[in-house]
Amino acid sequence: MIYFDNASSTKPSKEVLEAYINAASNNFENPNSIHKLGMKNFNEINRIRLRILKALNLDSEYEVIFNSGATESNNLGIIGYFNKNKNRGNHIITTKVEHDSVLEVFKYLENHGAKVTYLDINKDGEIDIDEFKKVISKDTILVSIMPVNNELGFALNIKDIKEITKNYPKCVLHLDCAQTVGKYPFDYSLGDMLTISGHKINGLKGSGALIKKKKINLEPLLYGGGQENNLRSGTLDYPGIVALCVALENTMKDFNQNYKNIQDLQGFLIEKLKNNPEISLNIFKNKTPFILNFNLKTKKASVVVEALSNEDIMVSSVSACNSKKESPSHVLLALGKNEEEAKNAIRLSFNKTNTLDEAKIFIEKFNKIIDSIIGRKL
Amino acid sequence: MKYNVVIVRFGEMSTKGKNKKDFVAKLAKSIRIALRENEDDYKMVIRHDHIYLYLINDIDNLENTLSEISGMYSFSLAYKIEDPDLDNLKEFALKVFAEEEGKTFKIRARRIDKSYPFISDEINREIASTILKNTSWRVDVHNPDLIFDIEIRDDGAYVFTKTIKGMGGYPSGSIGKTLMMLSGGIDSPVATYLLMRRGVEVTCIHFAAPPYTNSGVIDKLEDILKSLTKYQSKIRLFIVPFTKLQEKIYENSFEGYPITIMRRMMYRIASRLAQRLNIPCLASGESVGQVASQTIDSLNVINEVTNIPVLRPLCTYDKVDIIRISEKIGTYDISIRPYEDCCTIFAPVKPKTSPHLDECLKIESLFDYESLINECLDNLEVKYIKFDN
Repeated sequence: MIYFDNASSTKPSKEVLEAYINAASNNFENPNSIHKLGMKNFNEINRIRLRILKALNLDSEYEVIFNSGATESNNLGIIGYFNKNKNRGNHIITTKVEHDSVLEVFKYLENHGAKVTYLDINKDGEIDIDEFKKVISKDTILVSIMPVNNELGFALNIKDIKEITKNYPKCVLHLDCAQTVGKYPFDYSLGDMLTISGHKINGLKGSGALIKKKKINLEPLLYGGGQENNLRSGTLDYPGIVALCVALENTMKDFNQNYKNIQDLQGFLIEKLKNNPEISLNIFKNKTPFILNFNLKTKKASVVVEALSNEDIMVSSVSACNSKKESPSHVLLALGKNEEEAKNAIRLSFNKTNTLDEAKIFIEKFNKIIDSIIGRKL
Repeated sequence: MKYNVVIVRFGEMSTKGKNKKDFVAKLAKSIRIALRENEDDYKMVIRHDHIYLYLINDIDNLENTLSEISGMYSFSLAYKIEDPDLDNLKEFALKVFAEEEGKTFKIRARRIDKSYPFISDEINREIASTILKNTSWRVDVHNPDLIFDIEIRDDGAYVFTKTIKGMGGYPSGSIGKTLMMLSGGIDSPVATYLLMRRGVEVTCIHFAAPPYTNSGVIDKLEDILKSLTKYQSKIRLFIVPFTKLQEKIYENSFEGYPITIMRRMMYRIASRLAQRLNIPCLASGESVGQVASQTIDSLNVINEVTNIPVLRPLCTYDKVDIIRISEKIGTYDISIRPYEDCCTIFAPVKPKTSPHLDECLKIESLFDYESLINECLDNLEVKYIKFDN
C-alpha cells in the first residue's frame, strides 16, 4: 500500500506505540491521586510539559494544556479566550482558509456577539498585509491563523502578521499548527497560543495540546475536577501524553533531513505532473513539500481517488472530514477557483516514511488511470 | 398472562386449494429456521387450520421473531388447559383477570369440539358471571379493554388475551423466484422486502462500475441484505462488472440518453442472467414518476429489451412511504451511507423524460454492446449472504 494521505492522519510510529503500551500497562494510576504512584505520573507529566516546550523551542513563558487534539485545542483557544476577554473588545479575525474547527468556532462566536473578519488569501497563498492593517483595531482581541494550510500546503506570512499584532497589546495571536509541526520550518514563538495534534505527526488520535503563554487567561469549555489549571477538566491521559511527547520529539529531531527528503520526492512529482494536460498544480512560493495539491481539468476527483484506492494508493480529495459530501473545497473557492475546480482537486500528503520509489509507482498508476477513465463531457 | 402455546394463523392461504399443504409446510420451515437456536424449547404441531407451537421453555424475543415471518396472518400467545371442565376455565379466568389491567371485558368462546357439553354462549355467560361476581371488571361487548378468548378443542381449551398481527403475505419461497436489481439506495431494499413478504424468493443483481462507483457500495449491499435475511434466510448477490459498458454508453449516447441506454443494458444483462439461473422474472425498485428514468414513457422504452415479467412492487408508492418502510425494516440507515451507487458523472444535466425508442436503437447501433454484455456475464462475482446473529 502507498499511503499519501498523511495530512488526514499518520501511522503511529513504533516508538510511539511502545511508549503508549508501556505507560498504559505500567503507569495507569491517576496522576491526580496523591499516593506515590499517582504522584510519580504527575511529576512525569510536568517533565513532559517541559520536553514539549523544548522540542518546539519555546521558553517557560509558555505552558501546555493537554487535551484530545486539534479540534478541542482550537475550540478552547478561541472560545475560551473570547469568553474570558470579551469585555476588552469584541472583534476577532481569522482567514477564509482555516480548518472547520476554527471556521465553525468563529461562526458560532459571530452568533454570540463577536464581530468577525474573515481575511482573504490571494492567489499566491498570502494574506494581504495592507488589508490586515486596515481591519485590525483597538477592539481586536484575537487573530487565529493556521501557518501551513491543510489542503494546499501554502505557508502564510505569520511574521508580518505578528509585527502588526504587536502594536495591539490586547490582541493575541492563535496559530493552529496541526499541519505545521513536522511539515515546515517555523518559529513557534510567534504565536501566543498554539494548537498541536498527535495523530498528524505519527502519534495517536485523541492526543493533542493547546500551548499558550501563561499570562493569557481562558474560560474553560469543560468543568469538573479542575485539571490543567482548571482549563481542561478530566483525568489526565498519561499514556496519551507520553505518546504525544515521543511523537513530537521524534518529528522535530529528524526534521531537517526529512524535510529535504520530502522536498526531493515532491520535486520529482511536480516534474512528472507539471506537463500533464489534465492537471493544474496548485503550487505556491512558500509551501510545505509535505502537501501537494492539484486540480483535475476534466476527470472527477472522487473517481480518481477511488481508482487509486483500488490500486492500493491512498490519496484524498479535499479534506477527509468533507470528502464524502462532495462539496467544493472552501480553501480553493477562497483562492478564486470556480466550483468545478474546487470540487475536483486531489491532495497528496506525505510522511517522512514515504519514499521516492512510492512516488514513481504513483506516477505510473496515476497516468494509467487518467488515460483509462472518462471525464466530464466539456 | 402466562402462556405455554402459540397459535399461528395462516395468511392468504385459505384461498389456496389442494396445494395449501405445500404452503403450510413452507411456513413451518420458516418458523423452524427463525427459531433454530431454540429447537429444543418448543414442539410444533401442524393442523389443517393452524400451526401450534407448544413451548417447553421460554423463548427470548419470541413475539418479534414470529412477527418477522412471512405467510403468517396473526398469532396468539395462549395457555392450554388440558381438562376444559367449566370450573377449571373459571378458576383460570379469575387468575387472569386479577393480573391484567383494564376495566371492561368481553368473553369470546368458540366450541370447535362439538362434543363439549356447553354451547359457546353458555360458556360466555358462565365465565362472565364468575368475573362479574368476584371482581370489579365490567362487561363491554363493543369496545372492551380485554378480550378473553376461549377455544374448546378435542385436546383441551386454549385461552388467550393477546393476538398479534403477523407480517402477512406468503411463506418464504412459496410463490416462485425473481431476480431483483439492487442499487443500494433506499428503494430497492424496500422492494426486496415486499417481494420476500409476498413469498417470492429473491436473488439480487448489482451493477458495479469501479472506479466510478465506490467499493464501499458492496459492503453496504452486504449489510442491507444481511438485515433482510430475517425474511429470507439465504440471499444470493450477483455483482456485474459494468465499467466498460458504462463508459461506452456514455461515449456514444446523445445528450439526455445515457441513463435510458444504461437501464436498457442493465435489463438485458439481468434478463440473460435470470434465464441462466432459471429465474422466470425480474424485479426492480422503480416507482412511477420518481425520476426521469421512471416515467411511464421511460419505463416503456427501457422495458422494451426484455420479454420476461418485471415486478415493480413500489411502482405506486410515494417516496415518504418507501422511507417509512425502510426505517421499519432497518435498511434506511444503511442506505443513506454516503457512497455513490451510480456516478454523477454519467447523470445527464437534462435527462430525457420521454425518450424515443428509435433514438435508443440508433445509439445502440453505434457500438458492439453484445460482446460487452457477454463480457459482463462472463465475469460475474457472486456472494452468498446468510442469516446469522
